[in-house]
Formats: sequence, C-alpha cells, structure tokens
Amino acid sequence: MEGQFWDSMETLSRDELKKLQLFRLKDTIRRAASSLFYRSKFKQHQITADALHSLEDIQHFPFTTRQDLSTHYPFGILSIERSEVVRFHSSTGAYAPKKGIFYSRDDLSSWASIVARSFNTAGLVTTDIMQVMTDFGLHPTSHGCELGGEELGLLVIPAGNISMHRHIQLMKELGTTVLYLPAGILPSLIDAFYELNLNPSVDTELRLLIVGESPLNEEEKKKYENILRIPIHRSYGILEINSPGMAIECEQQQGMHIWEDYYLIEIIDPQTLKNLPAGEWGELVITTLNQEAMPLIRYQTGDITRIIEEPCPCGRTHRRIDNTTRRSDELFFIQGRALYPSQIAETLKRVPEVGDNYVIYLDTVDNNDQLIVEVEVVDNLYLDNYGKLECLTKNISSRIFEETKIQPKIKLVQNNYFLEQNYKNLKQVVDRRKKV
Amino acid sequence: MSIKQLSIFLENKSGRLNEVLDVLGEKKINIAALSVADTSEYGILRLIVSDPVEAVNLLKNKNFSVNLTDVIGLETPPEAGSLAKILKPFAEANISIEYMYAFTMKDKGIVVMRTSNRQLAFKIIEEKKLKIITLEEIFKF
Repeated sequence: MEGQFWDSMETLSRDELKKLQLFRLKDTIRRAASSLFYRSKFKQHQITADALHSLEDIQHFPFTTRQDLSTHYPFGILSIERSEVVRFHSSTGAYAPKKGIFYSRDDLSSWASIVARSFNTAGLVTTDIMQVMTDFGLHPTSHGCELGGEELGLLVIPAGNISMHRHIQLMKELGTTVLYLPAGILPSLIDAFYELNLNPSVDTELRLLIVGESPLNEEEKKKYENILRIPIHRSYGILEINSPGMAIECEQQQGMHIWEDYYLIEIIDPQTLKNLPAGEWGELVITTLNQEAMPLIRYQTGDITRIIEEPCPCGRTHRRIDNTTRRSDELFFIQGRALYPSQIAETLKRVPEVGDNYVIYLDTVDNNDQLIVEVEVVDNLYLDNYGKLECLTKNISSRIFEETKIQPKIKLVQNNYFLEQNYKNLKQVVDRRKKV
Repeated sequence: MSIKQLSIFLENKSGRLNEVLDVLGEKKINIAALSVADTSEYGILRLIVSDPVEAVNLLKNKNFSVNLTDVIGLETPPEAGSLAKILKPFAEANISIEYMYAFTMKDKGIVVMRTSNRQLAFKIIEEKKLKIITLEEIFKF
C-alpha cells in the first residue's frame, strides 16, 4: 500500500539494518566517550570503540544503571557542550530517583521523526485529530506527542492535565479521532463517558487510542476495547531516552515494533546480568544509536519483556517486543503514573508525627486504582483527639499528592504496629488489585 | 482535681478491644467507664480505671499506643434538667467540650468531660459550687 510506511528505514533488510546499527554503534561509543561519566567508565573497563567488530561485542561493554543516572545527574552523562543543548526533561517527583535527559537540536528532530513514524505505524493519518492526555511539564511524553504528531501532520490538541469532563467536551467540540493517554487512566475515562451518558464509539469521532506510560496486559486491553469499541494500540518509551516513540503496535497488534535503527536491544537476566537467548523473558537493555546529547550505553531499563523474533506480516523488519508488564525494580504503576516507594518514604520522613515504616497497598475500588498508605502514629499527643488525627491524615495525604499527583487514602495505625508484624518481613508494596 | 483517663489508639480490627481488656483484667484493674467512638479506620478508646499509671505501663509494654489525659468528672443530681444546668455556665463562658460521656453509680450520675480552657473551667466549677468527683471516690462506691 502506497504511503503505508513513514520512511524507508522501516523495511530495511535485516542485514542492512545490522550494518547500519554497527556503524551507528561505533559512532555512539565514540561520542559517549566525551562525557565525564563514560570516559572514566570505559577507562576503568579498558575498553574503546575499537573493540567493536560486531554488534555482539557490545556485551563487553559495562552496563549503565538507573543509579548511574541519579549519581551523575544532571550534567555528568552529557556528551556535548552545554551550549549545544536545547532541551531538558526529567521526572517530576522530588523524591523519586533523579533521572534527566538532554536533547540537542538534532535530537529533537530525530525524536519528532521517530514519534511520527510510530504514530504512522499505529495507523494515524494527516486528517487525524489527536488529543494528548498526559501532563505537560517536566516529563517528556506530552512534548514528544506534540513534536511527533505535528511532524506527521496531525492536528494535535495539547490538552494535558485537565478534568475528564473537559477532555470529553474537547473531543466533542473538535471531533478528536485519536487519544494518547496513560493506560492507567482508561478506567476513569470510561467512568466519565458513563457519567455523561455517552457511548464513545457512537457519540464521538474517536477511532483509535494509543496508550503508553503504564503497561496494559492483553486481558485488560481486550476488556477496554470491548467496552469502548475502539482499538487500543500499546506503545513503549522511557523518560531516559525517548518517551514516547521507542516502540509501538502496528495494525497487527501483536507486539510493539522497536525501532532498531535508533536502539540496539538486548535481553538480560536481571540477577546474573547475562545475556539471554532470543525469545526469552528478561530485562530490556538499550544502547541508543541516534542520540547526540546524551547517548546511553547498555542502559538497564528495568522493564521485563521478550523479543519477538518472527517477522511481522506488516512488512516492517524491526523486531517486536512483548508487553512490559513487570519491573525488575521496585517501581510500580498506579492510575497511569509510575511511582517509587522512596517517594512515599521521603514524604513520610517529613511528617514528624508518624513513623518511618509504612506499607503501601494497591487496591481496586469501583474499577479504579487506589493507593493506600499505612503508617504508624508515633506522637502520643495525637491520641486523644479525633480532630488532630483527622488533620494529620489530611496533611499526609496532601503531601503525598504533591509528590505523586495521586490522591492516597491514609490508614493510621498504632505505634509499633509494624514491629509486632515483623516489619522486615513485610512487603513494602502489596498489590491487591483485581486482575482482569 | 482532674481524673487521669486512658486514651488508647485502636486500629479498626476485630479483637483489638478485647486485647486491651484482657491486659487490664489479668492485673485486676477495674474499669469504671468506657467510651469508644470510631471512624472507619481507627478509634480512640477512653477508659476510667482504678490504677491508670499501672494500666499505662502494662499497655505500653504490650506495644499499645496509649497516654493519660486529664479530664473533669462532675456529679449530677438524679433529677431531670440537672445536666443542662451544670453545662450552661460553661457554654456562657465559651468553653467548648471536646467530648464527654456519662455513667451512673448507685443513685449518682457522673459526667466525664474534656474541655478547652481548663483553668477557666475549674474557676466556673468553684464559683458554681459544682461537685467534682475524683478517681478515689469513683472506686470507693
């Protein structure tokens, strides 16, 4: 079909693609070596770009971890002059491990291009009107949707963080055909349609949803597609590299094509850090091939997935990755947002009336995710006064909201409550959500 | 003048109240009055007991969150309207009552209350010659 692909890269033969990868990889290693971080890391491992003769040689290079990113935040991994940098993105919480990424002018245009390619792959065309439902701000996703959507020629509505009812008004007013949204807010979107007594497939022009940010398993996807009667395409991207734009489902909806001209992918065992054979589930490791300002070498994403080796009927030669429904670290997803327990821990440390120990429960209430934080009251002066306890609950709850943008429910328990339950053996995060 | 009341924080879990009562029962500590209100998540158990200091120690050793609160105990004559008459001057002096509960002993009514501005509250009690009741008197009955 004419115009089916965004660019000729998508159908490059595997051999040509690998040749291009090796060429770009050598270039990337050289470029990375101009950052303080990689210069010393390569030196320590006595390795240079000359050691690369094949793509497999990447396995001789050291990993880059999320800890490395925090430790060298913000400028340590920058590979170009600061004057060449035009954009910075980062995580929003004050107490999440720090991650930041810089873009050069060329990075922004290649990002726009890879997002445009992704949206094209999902089946979007220039007449589409895309409403972006993720927050605009420090986090890159909304900006990436805007850049890529405009590159493809869509009409982009940068709706961002507005009420669900206003979102639906906009859809009606402008005839929105496509939504980009975090998978985790699908339940509240469905609730809002229901409240307004609207059937999205009849009463709106919506024809396709692209979800990202938080994972969506096969059963959930089927469920939501059945309710909405609109196809849902999953996509993958990470803040540290490109979000969105790294991988997306084509019309086959059987795994997400990851753009191998931009990213060299490996799957490792998160415990032994050994590379796993093709097709096995493990942690996704990515080496960027097209990032100028901040190339990352063998970055451990923390996402557990597998590579689907079989060629896709759609004709794209770039391999697909499966759902990333698990993490190798403590990160968890709630209401479409990624949270680290450390964000809760650090927030609680700033409330003197409660202890440092806590347990996070994730529940399903009326089909929506609920975050429950159980924490001990240690200040005995609070013990004889419901008013004070109520204030304390509100205080903690608003502080956690500030940090995470999730409205939690606070469950106060007595001092030493966790001691009795042998806190060390308790799970920090207990996921009791109903699985579809 | 004040009565030492036990305030115990209880998370809303069946059996918690029993655990407290068992600890006190084992050491033969008597309970004269008890009040518990609950929100959906937790409750505050308030107790008037024969030996509050000992009770606090026992409960603390069992990891309960407990403390002592000063409350005022007043005797009310066994006749209609007597409580209203007692409380009126407090209201007139803008003293708010944070909580109160009442019980009877023999033919006497007793109200236990926690008020704001306790100094002023005691002044009113003195002026109006209200009958304060002490812990010793409660357990003498």
